[in-house]
Amino acid sequence: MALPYPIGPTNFLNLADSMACQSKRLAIKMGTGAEVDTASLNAQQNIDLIMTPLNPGVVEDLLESFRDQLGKVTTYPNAYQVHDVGARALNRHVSGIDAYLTANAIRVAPEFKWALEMLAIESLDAANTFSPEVDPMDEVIIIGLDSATWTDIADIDTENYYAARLELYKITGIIPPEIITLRLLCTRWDGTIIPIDVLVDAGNPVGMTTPIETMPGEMFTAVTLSSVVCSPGSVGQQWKVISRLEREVCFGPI
Amino acid sequence: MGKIIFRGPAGSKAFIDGATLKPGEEMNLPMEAIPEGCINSKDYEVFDDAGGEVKGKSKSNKPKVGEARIGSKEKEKEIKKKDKEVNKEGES
Repeated sequence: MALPYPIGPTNFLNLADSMACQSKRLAIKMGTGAEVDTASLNAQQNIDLIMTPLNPGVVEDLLESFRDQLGKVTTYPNAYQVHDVGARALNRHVSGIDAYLTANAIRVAPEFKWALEMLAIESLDAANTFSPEVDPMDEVIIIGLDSATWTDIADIDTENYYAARLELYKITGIIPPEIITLRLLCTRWDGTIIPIDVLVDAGNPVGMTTPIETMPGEMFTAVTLSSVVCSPGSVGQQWKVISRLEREVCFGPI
Repeated sequence: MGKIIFRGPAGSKAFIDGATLKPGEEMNLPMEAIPEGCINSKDYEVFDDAGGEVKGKSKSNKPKVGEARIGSKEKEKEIKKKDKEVNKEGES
């Protein structure tokens, strides 16, 4: 039965973000079997060691168990398994996390959503989870006077996540300054498309970012180019569109 | 008139002289209006008035065959010296 005074949204997010952060760090340490200095790579190396030499008896006796061991340290789903008890308690306490998030107009981190869904606790509406970073979403390269090549690489996965703040990230190095106008068509969460002119400077260094927005914090699910205004002097200059996390998850207050 | 064929990957588009091209589409343009960035780009094929493919100067920094050994004079002398030693060893 639902409690009359369940946990408040701030404390709820402290708990949810803490769990998301724990999963994130565990996932990094576990890895997927390929990354240097991870438990999964080491477990893979153990299998290689057993397979390498020796005599068939060693392989027969150890291989199966060590394969199981590898399965237990790979990222998915074991970085999330640790939250089974806590997440179930939280879900029970608020009488359903998804409805609680909707009622309080708050969003959780993708790692928290993955934990809930992998543990078959509850599935969350896409509007209740913020998107992981998408990098790159698109790329644009200047090829001449008012000319450019635009490549659409990925959009926000709106089946699972809410829209995100988008930015143009400069890929190429500094050349003489020139303001370039990128005329973009940006898709909002509700599907409407709005035009936004973004001014970028060819004279900016690599890594300089320019937000895609008409007002601070505006979020979109996709973007495309409708035209470009530039001189031939900026040929070869390149930017990519990246999405930003709504917030960085961290361990909650002690 | 020159011609540009856009060969970008799926999901890409080209904005040239007010027109938008999808992968596989082409447009005719006076040679002087063909954007510089199209030449030598993997995303474009550019043809001149006579239908010949236009290739610009290579922008690659990799040395061409034979160029790898050309550097400072000292280095050249060193290489020649080593070549002589190797040849002598081969003869003996």
